[in-house]
Amino acid sequence: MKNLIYKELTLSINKFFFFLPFVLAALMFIPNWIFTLVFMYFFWISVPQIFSAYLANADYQFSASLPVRRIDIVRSKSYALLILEGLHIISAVIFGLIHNVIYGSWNFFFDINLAFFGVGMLMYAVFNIIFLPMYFKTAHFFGKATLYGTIATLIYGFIFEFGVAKYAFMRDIFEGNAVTQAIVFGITLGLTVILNFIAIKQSEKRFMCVDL
Amino acid sequence: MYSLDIKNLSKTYPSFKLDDVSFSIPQGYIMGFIGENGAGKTTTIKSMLNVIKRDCGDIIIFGRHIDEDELGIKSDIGYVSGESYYPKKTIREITKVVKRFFANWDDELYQSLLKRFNLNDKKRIDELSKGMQLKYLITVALSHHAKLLILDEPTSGLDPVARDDLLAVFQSIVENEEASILFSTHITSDVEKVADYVTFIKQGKIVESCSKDDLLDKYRLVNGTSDELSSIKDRLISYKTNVFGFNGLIKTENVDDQDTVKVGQPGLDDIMIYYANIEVKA
Repeated sequence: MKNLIYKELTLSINKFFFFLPFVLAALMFIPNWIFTLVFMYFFWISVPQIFSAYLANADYQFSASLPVRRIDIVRSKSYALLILEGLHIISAVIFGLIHNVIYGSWNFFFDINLAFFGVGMLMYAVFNIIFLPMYFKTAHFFGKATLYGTIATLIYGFIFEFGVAKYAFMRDIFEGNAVTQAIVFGITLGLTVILNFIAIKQSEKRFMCVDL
Repeated sequence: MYSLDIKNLSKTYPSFKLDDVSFSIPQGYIMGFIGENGAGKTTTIKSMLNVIKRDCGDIIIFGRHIDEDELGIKSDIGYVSGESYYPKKTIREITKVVKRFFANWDDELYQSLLKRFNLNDKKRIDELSKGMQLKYLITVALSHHAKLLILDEPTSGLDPVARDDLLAVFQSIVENEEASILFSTHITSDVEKVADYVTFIKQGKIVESCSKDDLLDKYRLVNGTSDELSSIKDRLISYKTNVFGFNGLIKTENVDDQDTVKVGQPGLDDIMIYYANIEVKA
């Protein structure tokens, strides 16, 4: 398993995608913006590129020639995806904090605060639970899975960005005091773990039936 | 002892069925797995390695069932599918990853094989010829002391010189490493050159699986006039007519002393072609 993750991070996924989170996080410097978009670039740029590279490099045939379990192939690819998503969150936190120092924390749309990062994390989990099981049904076709995942996250992002801008009760919840934000973060963190767990388990189940 | 023992392997697709495939390779021998394109060679190989899910059948490798010790068995196998992986990566980059998967990886042996095959590990995979790519994959397989090499169409697409070179490598592997080799191909001349055993598959069913000499002894080529055809027709596996008469394939046991036709020794090519031609006879 450790070796498969090493393979993903050093051979399968281009180094560019480990730098991209830091480049994209610089978008946090835009004043008064829809900052959930910063997370979404991952679905639009990285995911299609990484998963098409698996095809171009005959990655599954390569993995089949190694002494590995099928279940670990799924897990290693899912964990690699989670690592990249984690990098996006971490870099967004760094640039978000700098943004708040420069411009202050007020934003017409969703503020950059603890709750925002919780919602961002959960957005990745929403994408994962749609994308991963759908992709691992074939371990080949990634277009439809990416499209469905992206549409779901656009709707998800819209609900929060529009809601916070339009409704006071949402501002009270997501842009409230530190305790409220911590509660939101805790709930979204819990949901993120649950959704990712289900996404990986479903993917493992589906990949078992795939003929490589 | 058998390196590989396949029993009753089946896999059904909507338009193709691998039907009750059984064969075995004694340790230290080369088996050629022949059949025309689409006969089921790759499906058999992938099914026995769990790359595709088989419907039923037992795969026993080195005396162990694949379902009980898949990882252990795969550590002792070198599987070369004929496809090149990660074409834009260098040999060094790929090996750095691959060697981590094998506990018995022998770096000294790997370096010596690179030298022997004249492989430069700074080169990218797509900078290598098809023959050199195969040599690299074989180098990787041998460097973890694989006891069984499974090669799917390794020689197709190679020029005759590269093919001959590769076949010499196969023979030296069996002699020096005491490994067994199963290689699938539709180029029967390669099998005739190096294989000790032959398994012949047609439309998902095994037609023959025995030693090469036994297989060649089992069949005879016959040719005669159109008049002679009528007396032997029912005993032929298949035949082709021409202006001079006919050519056909027959089982040696079915040749009668009374037959006036000319009888000759077939090659593997002839056996494969006449089996493919069975529909014509029907």
